[in-house]
This record gives sequence, C-alpha cells and structure tokens, in this order.
Amino acid sequence: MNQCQDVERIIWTDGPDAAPQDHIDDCLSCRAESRRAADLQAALSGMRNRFAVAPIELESKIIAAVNRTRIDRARDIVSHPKFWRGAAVGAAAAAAAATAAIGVMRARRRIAGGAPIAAPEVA
Amino acid sequence: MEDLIAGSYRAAYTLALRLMGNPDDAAEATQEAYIRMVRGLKRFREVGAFPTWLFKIVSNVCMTEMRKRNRRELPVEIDTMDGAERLALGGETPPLDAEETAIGNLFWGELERSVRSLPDPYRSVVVLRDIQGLSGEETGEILGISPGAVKVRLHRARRKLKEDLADQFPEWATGTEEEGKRETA
Repeated sequence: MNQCQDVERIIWTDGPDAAPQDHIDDCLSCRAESRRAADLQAALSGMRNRFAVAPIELESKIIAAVNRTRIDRARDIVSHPKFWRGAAVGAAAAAAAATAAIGVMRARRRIAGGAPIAAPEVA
Repeated sequence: MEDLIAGSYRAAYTLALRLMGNPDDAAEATQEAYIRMVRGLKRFREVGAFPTWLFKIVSNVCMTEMRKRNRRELPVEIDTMDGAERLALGGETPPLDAEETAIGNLFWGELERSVRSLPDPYRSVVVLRDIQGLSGEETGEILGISPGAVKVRLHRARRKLKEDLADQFPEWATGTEEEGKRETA
C-alpha cells in the first residue's frame, strides 16, 4: 500500500487536518497537497458570503407569495368542517358554562336576601 | 416577515442558483422555499438557527425539482456575482485576499465556474457541505444518500475542482512543490 496515496485520499475526503501530521511533516509532496486542499476548502467556505445578483422583482414576488399563503392558510382553517365543529362545541360549552354561572349567582342572591326555603311536605 | 425576507432572499437565491444552475429555476425554487417556510413557521423554535433552517428548505426544494426535471444548462456569467454586498448570515471572511485585486476577482469567477461545471451529484455535495457548511449527515439527508456516499462524491468533486483550478492557476498548483524542491536543494 502506498502511504502517500492513502494520505492524499484522507486529505481530499476528510480534509487536510485529518491527515497524519508526522507524514505531512516528512513528505514534501503530501505537504503541498495538504496546502492546496486547505486553500480550496477556505475558498469554498468563502463563497458562502458571495451572493449572486437576484432578479430585481424577486423580493416583491416572494413577499406577495408569502402573504397569499398566509391568507390562504387562514381561509383554509376557517372553511374546514373541523373548524366549525370545534366552534360549535366551543359555543355550546360556553353557553352551558354561562347558564351554570347564572344559576349559581341567582341561588347565592336568594340565600343572601333571606328568601324562604320551602319546607319539605310531609304526607 | 418582510424584514426576514429582505435579509435572507439573496443568500437563498444564490444557494438555489448554485444547486440548479439556472436563474429562472433558482428564482422559482426560492419563492417556493419561502412559501414552505411560512407553512412550517409554527414548528420553528430556535431563532438563531433560522439561516440553516431556511437553507435546508431551499436545498430540499431544489433537489425535489432537479429530480423531477432535467436541468437545463444555461451558463451564468461571473458578472452576475456580486461580492461587494454581504448579508449577516454567518460565515467567515473570504480567504486568500481574493477580492483585493483583479486576480482575486478572476479567482472567484473561476472557482464559481468550476463549481457550476461539476456534474449534478458532485456539485450538490460541494455546495451543501463545503460552501454552506452542512454536516455530512445533513447533506446525505437532503440528497437522499448515505454519509459514506457523501464522502465518496466529495472526494471526487474536490479533486476535480483542484484539477480545474490547477489548469487556470498553474502557479498555485506547482508553487509549493517548487518551494519544497528548493528547500531540499
């Protein structure tokens, strides 16, 4: 097995830092290859901050598409049967809770006002 | 939301352009990615990870589109690349003092062209892994291949890029070796 070939494979697959340092120190050819790989790696990561000039209208098109999507989503939610089933159940629950609350309030008012409590009829 | 779009759409478009190689397809994919982003916004929690999340959506949209249709080869000239304006989306300062001189601009242009001339499977791993900085696992997940396959493609793609750049910049390819020979003499 050729050690330089193995080292070069490591350099170009896992990066120059992954190559065995003792071999890099001793071998001029692998050291040069390691430098080239490091240069290329640095240059490629530098491309991350270089942007293409986007079409002029792209930003406004994206904003319009995003706004349409949000409106459509809201419409989808409102027009879905589940929404109305949920709304009906919610309304019924709210009505029941309100009725119960009114009942409790009336009973408390009666007790506070000293309303007579009907005595049980004895046969 | 509009600020979010204004601050990120150029980076998203550039990624799409590098993956798809065609400005019209890239613009469409960018738009589609933002629509998907809005739909998934409820599930998104980590504000600091927004760029990575957006870039993954863009990559997924591009890969889906590329699988659906054959890519049309329309070369994009270097003068569409604009290094002067930058967005704060992370990443390091470009290396090699490349933007200071005409040689620097030539270098970036050649590198961009070399990346774009790679075959699809190689270009996509280089763009996602080396340019965008995704991990091997993330890259494999987006491309639908194993991390091992990512490594194999990356190896071939990087060597191809090295050969292309060595053709264009022979002094870069041989300089250090000659230095080494001088050292030993």
